[in-house]
Amino acid sequence: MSKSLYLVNPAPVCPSYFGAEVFEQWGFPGAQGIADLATPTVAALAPQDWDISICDEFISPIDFDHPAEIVGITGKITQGDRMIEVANAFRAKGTTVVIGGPYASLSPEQLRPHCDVLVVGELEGIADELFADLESGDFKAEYVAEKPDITTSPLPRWDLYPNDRALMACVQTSRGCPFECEFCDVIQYLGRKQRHKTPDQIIAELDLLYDIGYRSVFLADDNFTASRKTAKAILAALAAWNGSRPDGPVSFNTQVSIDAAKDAEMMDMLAEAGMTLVFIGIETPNVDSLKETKKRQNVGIDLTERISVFVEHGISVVAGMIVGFDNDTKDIFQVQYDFAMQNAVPIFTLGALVAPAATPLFDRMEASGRLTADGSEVAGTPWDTNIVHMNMTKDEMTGGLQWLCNSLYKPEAFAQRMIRMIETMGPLRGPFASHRQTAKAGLRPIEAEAVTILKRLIRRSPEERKMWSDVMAAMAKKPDTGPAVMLSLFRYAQVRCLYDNGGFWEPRVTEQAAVSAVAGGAAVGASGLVSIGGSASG
Amino acid sequence: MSDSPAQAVLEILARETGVPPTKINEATELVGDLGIDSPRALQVLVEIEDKLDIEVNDEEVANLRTVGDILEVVATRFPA
Repeated sequence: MSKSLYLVNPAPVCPSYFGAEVFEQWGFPGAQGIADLATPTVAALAPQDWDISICDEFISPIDFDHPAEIVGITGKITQGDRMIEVANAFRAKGTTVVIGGPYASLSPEQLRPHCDVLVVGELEGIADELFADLESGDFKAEYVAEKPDITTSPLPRWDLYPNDRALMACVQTSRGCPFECEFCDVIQYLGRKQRHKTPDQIIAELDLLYDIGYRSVFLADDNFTASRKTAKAILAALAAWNGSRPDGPVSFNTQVSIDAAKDAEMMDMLAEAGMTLVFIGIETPNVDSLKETKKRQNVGIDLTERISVFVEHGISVVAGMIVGFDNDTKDIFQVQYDFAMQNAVPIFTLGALVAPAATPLFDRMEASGRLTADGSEVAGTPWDTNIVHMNMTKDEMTGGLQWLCNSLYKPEAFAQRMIRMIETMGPLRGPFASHRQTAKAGLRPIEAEAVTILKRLIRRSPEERKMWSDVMAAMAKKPDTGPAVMLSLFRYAQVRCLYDNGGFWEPRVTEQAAVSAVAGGAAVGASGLVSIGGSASG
Repeated sequence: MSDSPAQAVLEILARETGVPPTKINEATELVGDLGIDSPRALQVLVEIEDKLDIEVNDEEVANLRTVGDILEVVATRFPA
């Protein structure tokens, strides 16, 4: 007998660099930066005669009166607390609760007490057994899955998802990563052997998303270019597909490692396929820290030169940066600032080193008694950590990081990096070159809202107005950079949302030198108000 | 000096695109004819809003294809 299933993607504890919480903060309905792929994938693996609905809490509130017999909850570590709240609420009214996803796979002991069924690992390999058991009512408390061959993963049920509230679609191209960065939890549950979807499978998913109306797609992959041969096969298929879209091409974003820049053919293929933005974990210019954290692919190369290779190919770079490695001393904030400002990268995701559960870093911190009881393990939250840093107190870390974040995102500094990106960026390539001047379909409503957000951002202060004016002047000489400028500007609005939300935005801290900010311990208080150098008045 | 809101719009479009006002009419396409990309569209909107002290809402922004579409929105704020 068929069942009813309510799939929930709970809200995170705080906004993220990649999110779209700025919509809600500035008075619009909730939105997603990247559409959640987990819930439509689970929906596709469930029996198709089941009555299935999806709630993405980033977009709309959870219906706690939903009549479904089974609630399925997914989530990452950033959603952990909310996953538990949601599970407890549904269990209290007698609904069967199933929890799975990355956090369940990495920290099963945290979630086991809060659900009827815990799924550890990737669902594909045990989906038939799980859903058959749920249908019969004779289910186990826990299902542990092996790493599946994802070429058998079905087309996600995007027909159930609120696509009108997501800026970008999402297609997974692989799972797993061959690298072994000490702080990364990906390989702990997805493994070091990459498993890819086939090009045909990826194109089928793109066809579906294109028909829905998406013109921007995130290729979910922990390292798209790690397997050069497979990546090139996928890129060839993407270029052929993207160059023949009837209503204009799609812009692709993904994650890569910096070593891809030394492969000229790879760079050309990325550009020709329509890749317009990549996230790269740069982490730090401190070579000793890179070695410490086993980020070997970033060692022994000129990071700035390699980043420029991407930008010269028309591909924007978002760079992930971390402070607080054991080899970082109190001057790291100034070192990071100087490095960032010499790069053609407008958006940096900055945060303190944290040790997510199940990572080698977590084990090392635990073994040396350096885990804190009250710290957050949420990576990407700039002002918190769960480890005791080697060369800095927590206040020194927070003060230095607040100085760094505010210094890099001061409108004047952001404008400088935007202009550097514009000046470095090469011409449009591949499908975008041929669509440069064609009349395009109008904006999706969510994109029109994004335009309004940008209008408000520009008018927020004279400094932001000048930032925009300077960027426009540079862009006038390089009109091909328009899409990259708009994307970076929107990301800037989201960063400001993240910092505003956490009480972290305080430009006054930049009036002092980095070393003073560290020494003074500029800190975010419990109320969210910021004090500078220990004084509320500054 | 602009005589009317419509003329102000045309002047802003001409200044931002370098296309003479005499070559801009209601049927002129913002992207196809004037080559207005998204940052330039944002700039044009901000200038029009500042100049005429109006706000173009999201729904209207989503439907802007031609100069006539902009003039139509502006006309709703300044009824004859």
